[in-house]
Amino acid sequence: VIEEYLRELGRLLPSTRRTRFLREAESHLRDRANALIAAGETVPEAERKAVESFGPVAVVAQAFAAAAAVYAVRRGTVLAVAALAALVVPLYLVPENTFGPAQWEAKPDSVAVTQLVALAAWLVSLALGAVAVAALLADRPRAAATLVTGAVASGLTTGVAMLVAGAVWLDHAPWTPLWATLGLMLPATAVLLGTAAGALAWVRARRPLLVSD
Amino acid sequence: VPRDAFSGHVDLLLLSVLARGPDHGYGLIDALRDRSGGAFDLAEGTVYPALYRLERAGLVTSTWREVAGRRRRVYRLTRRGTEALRRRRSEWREQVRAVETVLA
Repeated sequence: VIEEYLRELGRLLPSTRRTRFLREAESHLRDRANALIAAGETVPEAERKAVESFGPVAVVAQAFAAAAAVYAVRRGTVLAVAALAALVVPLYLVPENTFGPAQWEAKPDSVAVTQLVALAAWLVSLALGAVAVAALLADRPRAAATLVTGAVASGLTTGVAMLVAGAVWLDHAPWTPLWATLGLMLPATAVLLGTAAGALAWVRARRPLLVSD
Repeated sequence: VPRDAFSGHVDLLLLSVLARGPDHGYGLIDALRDRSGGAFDLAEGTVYPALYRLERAGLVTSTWREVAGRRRRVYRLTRRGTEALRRRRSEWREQVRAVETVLA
């Protein structure tokens, strides 16, 4: 009875942590059945009761799926924001300094320095983000949380530095072509909004989930 | 007590039981049932997803341990979990006081 229940549960469980949940479920069902056998039940009856008190397969699987989905969404959000942030700087800074209206050396120092700060902060953000993903995959959520907080802070620095560089540069060079202006402002805004959304999702996910469904 | 009477408070109840010391899921469920005088009657299988949620929220941690000849996932309250329990417990007491005042 227990094997059949576990087979059915395994079929319905989400892939995230399936092995762990199944092992915990099996351990629980065997403990419960053994306790009932020790209390005088026959083996089939003990197994039937153990399975019955564990709950209908569909209900248990749904509860697991709901718990896993919360974290799949969070992980997805973090990865999406990271992917966006990873694209933003190359989308603007690299072409702008390679084919664009001004090379690094042609810019006022304040713009070049601020853009270099943006570039450095972006690289730090990418590195922290990559290590955070590794920590998540290694099931180290607390380490990942710290790393993502660092990556988000660094991402915000990137966004702010890009906005400042843009503002200063437009002030110095009002002839900058429209594509360069949009190319600066749009990704910078996307970085700011993306990191803010990521930070918000992160904070909300970290709030103690004390009211269960 | 209706079967779903505890369903909105599982997390608080689990944190409360874990405050006495680390335990595995089966032990926690038995402790909950004992301490509620048998009133706690949720589907036992739904307690594990609740523990997983608490773990991902950083309120508990867990590791596999060999206990009584079987490998079990043993849960332990974190510092954040202890703080959350203290906060939620006082919120709960305020709620109960407010409801009792109205009912009286």
